[in-house]
Amino acid sequence: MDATAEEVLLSLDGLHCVSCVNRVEQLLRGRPGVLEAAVNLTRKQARLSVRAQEFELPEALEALAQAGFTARRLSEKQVRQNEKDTREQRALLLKLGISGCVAANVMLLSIALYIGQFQGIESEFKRLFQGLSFVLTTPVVLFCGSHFAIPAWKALSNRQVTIDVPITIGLGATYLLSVVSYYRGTEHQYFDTATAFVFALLVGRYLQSLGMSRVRNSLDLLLGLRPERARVLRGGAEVEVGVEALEVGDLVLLEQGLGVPADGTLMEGEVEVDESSMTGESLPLKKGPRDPLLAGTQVFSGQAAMRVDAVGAKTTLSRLAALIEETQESRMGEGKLSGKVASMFSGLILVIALLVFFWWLPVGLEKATLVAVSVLVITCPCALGLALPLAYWMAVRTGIERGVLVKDEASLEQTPVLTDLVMDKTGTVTVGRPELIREEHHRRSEEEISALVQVLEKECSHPFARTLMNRYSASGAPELTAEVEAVPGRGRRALIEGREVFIGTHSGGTGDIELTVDGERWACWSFEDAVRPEAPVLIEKLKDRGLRLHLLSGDRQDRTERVSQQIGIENYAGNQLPDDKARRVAALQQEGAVVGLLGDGVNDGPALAAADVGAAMGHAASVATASAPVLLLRPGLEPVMAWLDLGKAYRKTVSSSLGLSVLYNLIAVPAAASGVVSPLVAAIAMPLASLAVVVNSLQLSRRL
Amino acid sequence: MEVLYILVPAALFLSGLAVTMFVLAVKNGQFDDLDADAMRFLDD
Repeated sequence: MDATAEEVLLSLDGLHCVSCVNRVEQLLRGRPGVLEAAVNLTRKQARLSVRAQEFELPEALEALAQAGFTARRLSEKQVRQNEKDTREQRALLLKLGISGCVAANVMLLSIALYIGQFQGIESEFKRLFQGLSFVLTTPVVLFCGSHFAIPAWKALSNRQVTIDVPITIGLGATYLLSVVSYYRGTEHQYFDTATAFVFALLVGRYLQSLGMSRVRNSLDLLLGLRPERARVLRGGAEVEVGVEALEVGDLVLLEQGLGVPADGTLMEGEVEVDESSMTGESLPLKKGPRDPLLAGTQVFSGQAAMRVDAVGAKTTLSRLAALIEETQESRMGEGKLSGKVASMFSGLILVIALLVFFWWLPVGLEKATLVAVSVLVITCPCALGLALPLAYWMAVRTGIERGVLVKDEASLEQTPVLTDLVMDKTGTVTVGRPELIREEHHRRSEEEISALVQVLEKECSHPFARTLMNRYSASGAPELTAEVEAVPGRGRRALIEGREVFIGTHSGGTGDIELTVDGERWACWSFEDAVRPEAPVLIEKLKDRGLRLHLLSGDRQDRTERVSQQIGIENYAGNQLPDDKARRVAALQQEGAVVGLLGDGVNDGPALAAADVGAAMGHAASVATASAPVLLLRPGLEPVMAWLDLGKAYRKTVSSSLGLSVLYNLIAVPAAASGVVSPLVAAIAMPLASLAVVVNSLQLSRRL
Repeated sequence: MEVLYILVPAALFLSGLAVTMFVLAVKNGQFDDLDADAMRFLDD
């Protein structure tokens, strides 16, 4: 390899089959500076070996994007994690293969010995086969068994008991018992049991590790793609800058096939945006002026200019990435509830095994050891130590696919037992943007009014003004020019053709906004924040689930009432300050309710924190401020159902896994303790039970 | 039954060979991607 060669690891999206693999490999090999490219379909990654001087990463990424593959260079942390995964899996596979081969051979030898018991066997061959079994088993126990012994030792030196401890003791006891019996020349050894035991356990561990890294990779991928460079208008000229050089307020040009480099607002033009990486929404969304755009999404078609609102670590993408990473790490750490229960369980097994050992001791040391080993081996705390974390991982993953990010497992457990759901009005049940609901033109033509509105409101950024501009911009009224001045807190005023024209709020007026000319009212408009079209249906569904619904709003009482009647919520209250909402939630909890809160995350902070489960609506702004453990990533109310369903599926999965495990242990432990189960059968039964529970956890997404 | 003195070492040698090959294959990363190679023949 070249001295200047450098490794680049890309994470790829859109990779489905081998022809994709070939296309990507060929495409990458065709790029200048690429020495070698290898795609891994399991991990959905491409490993490049490149000459750094010649290789241009952004161009390669763009070429991939044009071919339909979203690619992203892995961060250093991810590369390290990735290498660690690879190393661990290879080591595991090595141990698995060796133990499998030896187990098969030792098993054949013991079949020969077993048959020899009935048909007779020359004592020299008997000794030879026993010796061979001993020689073959020793490296398996020492090398392959270290996969359990080393963690067990580490746990013990930290004064913890993990599932590896009983496994190691069981394995060690079986092996030592066999060695002693070999040297004493007695009839039975259990080398076959020891090797098969290691093999069966390693199969379980290997499958588990594959599953884990698959989940992790899909989370890595989800963090999506942010382009490396962006085209920016600066001083009237178009320049290309690195994404890190973008500043808030820059005008970025977007084009078909490009990624959105930062969070921003669309200023001009119209595009269709693929937001699947951020929200899971698979259909491209149409975006027009003033619509928010998120970093990491892709422009599907069209052209537009975007104003940058947030860059770097402040973008929704980076925050989401940080959140997910946090979620991952918090799960990886030990000391969680399921871990604690598992270690208690392991301790309990040790105690039971010891009791069983002394119970059987009068019968003979060998029998007592065998029965104790069976007990050690057959017990399976997998539902706790393995299935629960795996179920949570699956829930996180399927949740993200459906537009829900769940940050801790407690809130998932609480979700299906919610009795009350408190909703915020503005921005949650409603769109959060004022819409024109009524207009009155007083004896004036639309054109006259339109002309005045346009000159007065042209440069005003107030939401009402923007709505009015939208309303009248297509009317084709003659263009006027005038000196417009703002009346702070009320509206805008201008002198047009010698008459004083005013637009804004007026005390005593009926509408929210009125237009007066020399004090005479020409028009007035009422605005309302429209209810989301999907809200009534959702409310119906929520009621069907037996949830009590509440609407709390900071808005005026009469408007809150109108909205709640519109969507069919009986319990409502207006004029609620953020603290009032939190108090309401607390009051409900005192009555014994389990309260979920659905808010937009901005002014619902205290209430979100007070609720048993707080869910924040996914606006670009809310991701940062959300103190909520649940984030709805897709706009609108659609993910609410996904969230509730996810909670249900998680609970179902967890309880069935626990049920399976308890049932298995209730049957297996007494059977082993009574001495009817040989250590070998135990060694086969335990991984099977593990596997059943793991498979059950992985079925979570099918329960939705 | 003296043939066992040849057959057993031969069998051990063969399985030792198999294990060595397996170890080499793992270290070469041949098992890192279990999906692509399983389907690669479809492409030919």
